[in-house]
Amino acid sequence: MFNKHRVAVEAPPAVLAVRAVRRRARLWVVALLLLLGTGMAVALGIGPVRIPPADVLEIVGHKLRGQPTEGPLAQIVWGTRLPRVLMATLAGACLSVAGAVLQAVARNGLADPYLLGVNAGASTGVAFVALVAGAGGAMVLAGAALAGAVGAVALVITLGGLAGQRGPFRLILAGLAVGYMLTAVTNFLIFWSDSPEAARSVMFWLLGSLSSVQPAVLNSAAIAAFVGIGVLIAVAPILDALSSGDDSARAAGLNPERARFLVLIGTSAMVGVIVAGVGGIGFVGLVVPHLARRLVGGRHRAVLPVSALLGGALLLAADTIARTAVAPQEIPVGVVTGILGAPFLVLLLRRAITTGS
Amino acid sequence: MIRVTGLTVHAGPKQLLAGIDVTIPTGSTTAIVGPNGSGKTTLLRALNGVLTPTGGRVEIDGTDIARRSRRWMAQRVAYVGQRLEPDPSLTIADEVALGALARRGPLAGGGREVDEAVAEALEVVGLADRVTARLAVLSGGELQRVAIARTLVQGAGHVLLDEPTNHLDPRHRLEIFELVRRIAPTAVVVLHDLEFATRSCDQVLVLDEGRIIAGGSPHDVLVPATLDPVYQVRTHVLRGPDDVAHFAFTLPLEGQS
Repeated sequence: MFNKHRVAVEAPPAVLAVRAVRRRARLWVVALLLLLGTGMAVALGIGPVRIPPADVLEIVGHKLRGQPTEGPLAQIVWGTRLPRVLMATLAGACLSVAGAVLQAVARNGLADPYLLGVNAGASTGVAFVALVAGAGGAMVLAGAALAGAVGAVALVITLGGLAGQRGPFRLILAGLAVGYMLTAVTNFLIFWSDSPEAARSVMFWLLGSLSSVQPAVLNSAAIAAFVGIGVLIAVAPILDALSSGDDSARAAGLNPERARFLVLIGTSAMVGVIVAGVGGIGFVGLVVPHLARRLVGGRHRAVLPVSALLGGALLLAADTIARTAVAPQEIPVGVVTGILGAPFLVLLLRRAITTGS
Repeated sequence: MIRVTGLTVHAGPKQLLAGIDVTIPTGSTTAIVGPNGSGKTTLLRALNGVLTPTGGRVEIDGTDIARRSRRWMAQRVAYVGQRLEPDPSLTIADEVALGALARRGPLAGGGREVDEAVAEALEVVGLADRVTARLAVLSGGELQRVAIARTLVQGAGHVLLDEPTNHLDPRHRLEIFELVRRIAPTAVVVLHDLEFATRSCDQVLVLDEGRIIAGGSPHDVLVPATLDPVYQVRTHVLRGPDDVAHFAFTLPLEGQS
């Protein structure tokens, strides 16, 4: 089929049409990059002390060039708000990409890190380390969350299995079972804890919060995001094949069971690191991939970067609302994403009913 | 060429295939017929290397497939199921391009060569003008043509088809069969349609209870003496003016078998 002796001829209309779709996807990526950049500049300026975007850009520009920038505004922008803005963006990007990947692997639009037990596993890991072992360092908690997330997914895979046409569906059932079980374990640990202070902080963390982002957490999240999302974009054609079913995956020369296993473990590790930093933030991983597919279709080379940028922007917006809506009080960001995400899910359902899809 | 020797497959204690021996020559079209549950799909899946046999072997061009990777298989064997159940948000081009991964590697993604191969394949199956349509909006017949286009891009020398026209109306059925004849260098088709077997296949294998009951040219094999006991019906073969066999079936009368 491949034309080895190519001559300079006009590409056939079908090729031009495919290229036009890809070009549109690239334009969306550029547009969303601009949106996210603008959103970050605006979010850095919003808070008890309002700072105009121009000043924010000046401070960030100075810092990035390594020029000395003194003063309280620079401290607010660079020291207080920037870690939080970056963390919200990274977490939103990772959770959204994870959602898109899990939806492909499970062949189900309702799959997300919650449904496959990833969040529950990470939560149990953190609760165990914080409440039973009494440890509290950021890196220890990150490690516990990662181990919990990967352990939960390994358990889901063991229970659900990866083989057969019904494999993806069984995976979701197993994810639900493991999720419920681990949530019960976490709640029991909180109930049983003899340190009300520690139990309260774990509960606040479970609701999802970006209020205290430590440098170590931000660094591990940045590594997880860039490595995780980078690798997943690189293997995007494998996700196309998996989302298309086992026959398509085999036609692409893949062993579907092995590919699903590797992708699931890798994605849960990425989510584990993020959940360790920000707790349980729902709906982003579920909703954003649907928006991304609406914009650029189902091809994962396009869906993943668009999900990352869209998810980053969405969680950044949600967190900005969370920290400013009832200031000086702070709403857990998971509550805001839930309030924003649930109506969208209903909208999605209604659209699915009317279009019959 | 596909050579099957002593192929035995079990599902737990149940024997699904019992010592199948068959050779499918390069360039031929072979039909596998037989009643429901006779092991047709199992045989096809074993040829595709999806099932691990409990005995015997399958060779593709002289190589035992048991030792070969999925990618090696995909470069040589393509498979079209009863119905493509794809990701509805992918476009026709996305699905067909998956066929190129086996040759180029899963990380290669698209590119000019793939785009051209996809366009060429869609031209063959008559979907070139709908290349960016999402799979969600396609009919059953169009989805089967997408699956065949993917097979073309895959460029495998052997194509396995499992009742590829099951869900299609007569016109689409004929179109798909015509396509299969045109594109498949070596094809193995599981069928219920005996007329297509006589019209278009070089060889017919009749399977019953996991064994090959009869094998050979359609003229020799698709006769009442073979078909009646296998399907437990009375077969009436009617020859049309074009000498193509048409089949009618009736239930045997009380006391007859």
